[in-house]
Amino acid sequence: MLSLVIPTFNEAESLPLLLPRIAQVLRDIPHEVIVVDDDSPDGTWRKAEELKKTYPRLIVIRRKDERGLSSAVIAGFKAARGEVLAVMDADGQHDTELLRQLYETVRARRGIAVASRYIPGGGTGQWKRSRTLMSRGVTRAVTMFCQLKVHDPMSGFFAMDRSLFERIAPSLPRLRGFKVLFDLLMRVPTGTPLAEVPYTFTPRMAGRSKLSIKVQWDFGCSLIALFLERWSRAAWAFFLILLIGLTCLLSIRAWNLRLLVTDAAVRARTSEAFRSLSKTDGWLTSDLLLRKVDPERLELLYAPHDRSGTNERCIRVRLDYFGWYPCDAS
Amino acid sequence: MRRFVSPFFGLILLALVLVVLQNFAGLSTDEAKFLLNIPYPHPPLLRWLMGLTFWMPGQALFWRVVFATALLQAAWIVMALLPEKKRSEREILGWLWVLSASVLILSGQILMAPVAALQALVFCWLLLRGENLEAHVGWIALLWLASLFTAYQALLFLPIVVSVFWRLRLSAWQRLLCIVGPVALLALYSLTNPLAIASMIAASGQNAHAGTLFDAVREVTGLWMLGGSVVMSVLGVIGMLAARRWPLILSFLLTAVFILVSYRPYYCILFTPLLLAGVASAPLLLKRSRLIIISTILSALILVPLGYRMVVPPFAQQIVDRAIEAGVPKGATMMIAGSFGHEWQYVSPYLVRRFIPEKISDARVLVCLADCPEVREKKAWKRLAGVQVEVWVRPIR
Repeated sequence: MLSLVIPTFNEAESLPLLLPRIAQVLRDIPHEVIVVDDDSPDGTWRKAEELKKTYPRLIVIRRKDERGLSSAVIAGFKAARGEVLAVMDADGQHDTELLRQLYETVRARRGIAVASRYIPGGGTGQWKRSRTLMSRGVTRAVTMFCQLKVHDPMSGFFAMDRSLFERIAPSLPRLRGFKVLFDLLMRVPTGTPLAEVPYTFTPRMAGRSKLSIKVQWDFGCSLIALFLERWSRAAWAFFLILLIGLTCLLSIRAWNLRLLVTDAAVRARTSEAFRSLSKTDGWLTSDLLLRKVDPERLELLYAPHDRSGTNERCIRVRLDYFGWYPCDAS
Repeated sequence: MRRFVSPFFGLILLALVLVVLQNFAGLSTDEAKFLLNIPYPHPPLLRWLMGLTFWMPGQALFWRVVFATALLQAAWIVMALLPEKKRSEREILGWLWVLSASVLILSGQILMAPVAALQALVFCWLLLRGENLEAHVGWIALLWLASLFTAYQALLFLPIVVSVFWRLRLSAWQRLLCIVGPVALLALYSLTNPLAIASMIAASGQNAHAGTLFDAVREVTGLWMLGGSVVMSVLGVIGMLAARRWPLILSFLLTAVFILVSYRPYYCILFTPLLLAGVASAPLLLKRSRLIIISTILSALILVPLGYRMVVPPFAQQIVDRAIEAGVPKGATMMIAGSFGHEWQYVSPYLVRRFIPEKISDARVLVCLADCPEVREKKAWKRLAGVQVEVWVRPIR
C-alpha cells in the first residue's frame, strides 16, 4: 500500500483541486492520503474533513502545538500504514502523474525514489532565471558539501520504503525547516538504493508561497545542525589531537620552568630579576616571556608589544647579579 | 517574515549605537591589553586571534562591532532556551537578555568577561535542552576547551559543563577526558605562564584588602542587580531555586564568591546567563509579561547610565600625535615616568619603556606622568606645548 503524506498550511483552496488528481492517478494502487495540517487559519483541516466524504481513503491530522513542514511529514509517516511512504506538496506544483512511477521504483528497489528537477528531463518550469540559478547553485553546493548521491536533495516530492524510514526514525532529531528529504538522506545507511525520476515544477494551483526568509533561516539552521552531526567524529578526533598535542607542547615548556614550582629560592630570584630588568632597563614585564629557568640563569624572550617594529630577541639573565646578555653571545 | 527580520536588524542597529558610545568613551587599558595580545591574565585563544588583526586599521572598532553584535544577537540563543514555549514567552526571555544592564553596558567593550558569558549561555542552552546530544559530543568538548582557553572565568561554569557531559551517554573515560582534560591542560598552560598566575594572585588579593566583608558583599549585590536589571536578577534566582537546578545554583554561588574576592565592574555579565537560565527553568515566572518588560526597561534606564564606564581621556593618542608632529621618528624609544596603562603601547609607534634616568639618552620622547626633574636640565630636550601632561621630545634634525 502507498501512504501519501501531504503537509498543509493554508491550502484550503488547493486541496479540493489536488485530491481528484491523486485519486485518478492511484485508482488501481491500494493507497491512503494523509493530510497533516498545522492548524491553518484558513481552515484547511476543516476542508479536508469535509473531503473525507468524497475520498474515504483520506486521513486528516490536525496539529495544534507544532508547526513546520519537516515535522509534519514525519508525523504523517509515523501515522501511515503503507509499506511505501510518499510526500508531495498540496499546492499542485508536483506532478501527480509521477506518483505511480515513484511508488513502483520503491517497490522494485526499496530505498528512496526522488522526483528531481536537476536531472535530464527535469526542470524548474516558470521560475525566473535568477531563482533557478540560485536554487541550482545552492543545491549543487549542498550536494557536494554533504557528499549526497542525488541531484535534488531538496526536492519535496519523493517516496521511500517504510522499513528504511523505521530504521532512520530513531536517529531523527526534532526537525525544523522544510527540507525533509535532505534530513533523511543525511541519515540513510550506506548502500541504500537511491533512484531519481525527472519532473518539472508547475505553477501553484491556488494559495500563496510559504518560501520566506524564516524558512530559509530554518534551512540554514538545519544545515548547520547536520554539518555538526556529520563532522562530530572529526570534531572528537580534533579535540583529542588538540589535547594530546597541546599537552606535549606545554609539557616541554612546563619542564623548562619546573624550578619555579619546585624551588622557592629560584622563584624568588626570578621575581627579583624581573623587577631588576624593569628598574635598570625600563623594560615592561608584559614584554618579557620566560622560556627557561635553571639555578644560575633565566632565558627570556624580549618581545615588545607595540607598533615600533622592534625585533624580539632572546636574552639570558644571571640570577646572581641580574646582568643580562644575548642568547647567541659566546 | 517581519517578526524575524526586524529584530535581527534592530539588534544590529542597537549594537552599532552602543559601539559608537563605547568608541567615544575611548580605549581602556584592559581593551588595549587584549588587542595587543599581552600574555596575561587570560589564556591565549581569543587574544591571540585579536592579535592577528593588529595590522588592521580600525582594529579596535572592528572588534567592538564583533563583540557587540555577538552579544546582542545572542538573544536568539536565549529564545532557544524555551523551544517548547509560545513565541511570545520566548520573546520575553530575549528581551530580558537585551535589556539586561550588563549586556547594554558591556556591548562594544573588548573584554573577555562578555565572551565568557556568551560561552556560558551556550552551555546553559545545552543544559536545558531535552534532546540527546551524543552526536555532538566532540563539538561540546571543543567548546569547553575553547572556553577555558579564552578566559579563566569559564571555570565558574564547571558545574553546568559537568552536568551537560554527565547527561550524555559516554563511557567513564570519555566523560573524564571531556571534563577534566581541558581543565588539566589549562592548569599546565598556567604553569608555563607565570605572569598569568602572578597577575591572578594580584587581582584576587585586590578586593581582600579593599574594605570590610560588608563592602565586598555590597559590591557583589550591585553586580548581581546589573546582571539582570533587578527584575531578572530576582526572577532568575527564584527560578533556579524553584526548579532545583543545582548546576545553575552552584555556578551562581561560585561566580558570587569569585567576584567577592576579585571585584571588577564588568564581571556583572557573568551573572546574566545564569539568571536567564534560571528564569527559563521556571517559565511560569514569565506569565506577567507586560509587568516584567516594563519594570525591566525602567530598571535598565536607571542602571545603565550608572554602570556606564567613565570616558578615558585620549591622552596617549594626543601626545603620540604631537610627538610625531615634532619630528620624532617612528621606532624611537618613548619613556614614561609613573604608572601607565597598555593603551600607550597600543597607540604608540614608539618602543615604550619605563623611565630610567640613567637611560635617558636612549629615549626621544619622555612622558612625565610622575615628576621627572632629570630632563629639565638637558639642553637637547624640548618641552611639548599644548598637551595636558609634561612631555619632552628630542627630535632628529
